[in-house]
Amino acid sequence: MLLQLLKKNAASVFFIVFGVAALAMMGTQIVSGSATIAAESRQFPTLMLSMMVILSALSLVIEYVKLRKNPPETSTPVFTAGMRKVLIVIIAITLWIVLLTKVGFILCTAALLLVITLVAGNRKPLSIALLTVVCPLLVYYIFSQLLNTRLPEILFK
Amino acid sequence: MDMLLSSLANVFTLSAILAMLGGSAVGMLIGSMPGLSASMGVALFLPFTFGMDASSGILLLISIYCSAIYSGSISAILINTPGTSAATATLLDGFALTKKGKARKALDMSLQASVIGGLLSGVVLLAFAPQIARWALTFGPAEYFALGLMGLTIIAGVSSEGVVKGLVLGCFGFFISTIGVDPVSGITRFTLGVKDLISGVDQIPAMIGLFAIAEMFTQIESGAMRLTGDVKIDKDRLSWREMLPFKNVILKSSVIGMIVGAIPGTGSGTAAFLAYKTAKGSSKHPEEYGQGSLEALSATESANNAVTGAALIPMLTLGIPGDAVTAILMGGLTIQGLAPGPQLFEKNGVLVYTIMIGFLVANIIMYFEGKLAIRGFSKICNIPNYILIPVVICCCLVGAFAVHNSLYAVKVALVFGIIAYLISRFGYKNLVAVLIAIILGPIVEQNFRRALVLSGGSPSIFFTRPICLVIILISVGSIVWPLIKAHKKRTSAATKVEK
Repeated sequence: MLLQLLKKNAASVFFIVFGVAALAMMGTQIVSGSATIAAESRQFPTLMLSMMVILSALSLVIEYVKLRKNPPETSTPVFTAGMRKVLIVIIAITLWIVLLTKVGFILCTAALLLVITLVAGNRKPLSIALLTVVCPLLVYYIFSQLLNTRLPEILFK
Repeated sequence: MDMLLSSLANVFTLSAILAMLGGSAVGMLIGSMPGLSASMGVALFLPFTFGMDASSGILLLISIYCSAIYSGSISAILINTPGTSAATATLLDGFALTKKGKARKALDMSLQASVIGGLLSGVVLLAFAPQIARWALTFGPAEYFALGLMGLTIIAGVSSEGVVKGLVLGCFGFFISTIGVDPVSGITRFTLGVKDLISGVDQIPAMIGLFAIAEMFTQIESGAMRLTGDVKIDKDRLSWREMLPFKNVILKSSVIGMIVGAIPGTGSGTAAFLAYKTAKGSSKHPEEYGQGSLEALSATESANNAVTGAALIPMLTLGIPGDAVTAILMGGLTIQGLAPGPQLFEKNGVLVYTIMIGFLVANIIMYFEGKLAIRGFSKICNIPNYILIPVVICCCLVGAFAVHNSLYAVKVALVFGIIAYLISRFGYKNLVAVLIAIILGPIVEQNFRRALVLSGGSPSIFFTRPICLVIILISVGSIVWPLIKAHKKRTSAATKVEK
């Protein structure tokens, strides 16, 4: 039951771990020559992080009581096929960020769009081709020409 | 008077008119596509305002807001799926009318009632906002601290997954707002040695991540290709004369929408359901409700659009955003170097009046564009997700990049998108609380510390000033009341089981 509770409330666990880690780092992350100034600067984040940890723990307790009253008949998997698709898209976006300045906006974006549209279930070659060609060019034109955004060019100057 | 004339001149400049025309069209497109919300649309188009003058930029965002709230009803009427949460109540009768072959009448009613609701709330905004701002000028740091706290506690209190989780998200957002240089002492906090973090977490990419990227991740996970098949719209229109019997319902529902809209954390969806319930209670034909009633549709649609103008009141006058959209609009004002609140009326009166008059004009533009586009709506509703998702993600990434022409903002947007997707996947869905806390964090912290300096370190300052005390009591009430309600519900359910 404990495992089921933690699986279902992974976000609460995240907030507790995050809060405790940030509180532990407080001494190294807020530093000043004056102890009074440092203490004043630490006051608000300490209060917020402490409340976050306490309330997340309280939320876990509430969920535990609920779970004990109404135990689920089947356990639900944490990672679904849908989440795997999201993971692929996150990796693709991360690569887009890493490669953007090396490859250039248009090619990089075309590759990203190709991955996302395939992951989202597009199997029509014409629609894929149109999307990966037209969208990057259109977005590039709107942002760089009309909105003066300096997108990395490299291959298509 | 001079201010009003200057504002009128600002509203009718070519750039402002084009911004409102474009904003209305974009808002309609976004609102009518299920899965794309009004807040997401406004966040997505925020980067477009960087290069615009302040009034055109804000009017673009306001036009998107009004049109998206209205057009959420289009997919609710045509394909039984609300485009935005504001149109959930419209489902009850909208789709039933389509099934009866009265899709055109339903769409016309939705547009006309929305425009009336929007215009009425615009008039209220114009009439009351300056008075509230004048009153708010008397507020000190203690009152501002209490107001900031109230903005968050009300939103946490109405959180669907419970007050505790809403407060956790609020604390998380407040903590995020402390990253960077401490505005009071000037020392850095939680920058982890990253130079970009010295100026803090940028609100715009954070908003794009929280509301647009996270939503797209959820859509990808759901795997829905599109929501329904083709729909046809008949030619039987609804005239203004046919709307006359519904005038009282529309007026009453608009008032409900305005009251609900002015309260932080409530939103268009709540207003629409409340108006629906009230209209049904006083209707001569309550049996028609849920079976395709034009009266019901007039109630829900006028109420949800009446929220839009009223929701701008706390944002413009007090600097307290009531929901996600107004929080993003506040971000839009900040980008232009303007700080919402009573000082805005003093220092930038012309701009404030431009926004308020522009709000009225945006609703009128929405009417004409809606009439022109009504027949094309069935096609918009059917754009498949595999086209929509890549295009939206691409716009999100480039939009975040455009904030500072740097990849740092894209990384912020992605990190917030991932966090928002995961925490909402695991039971924390009230992401508005995070956003509001990020925006209100500096206001709350600075005023808290200033108030303590003024009182020589004594917290009694928060309880001895009457306005501050009342606001703090409302904040406490907004947390305690849902808990009492939930307890009562549990005990009555237990009593029923025992019986």
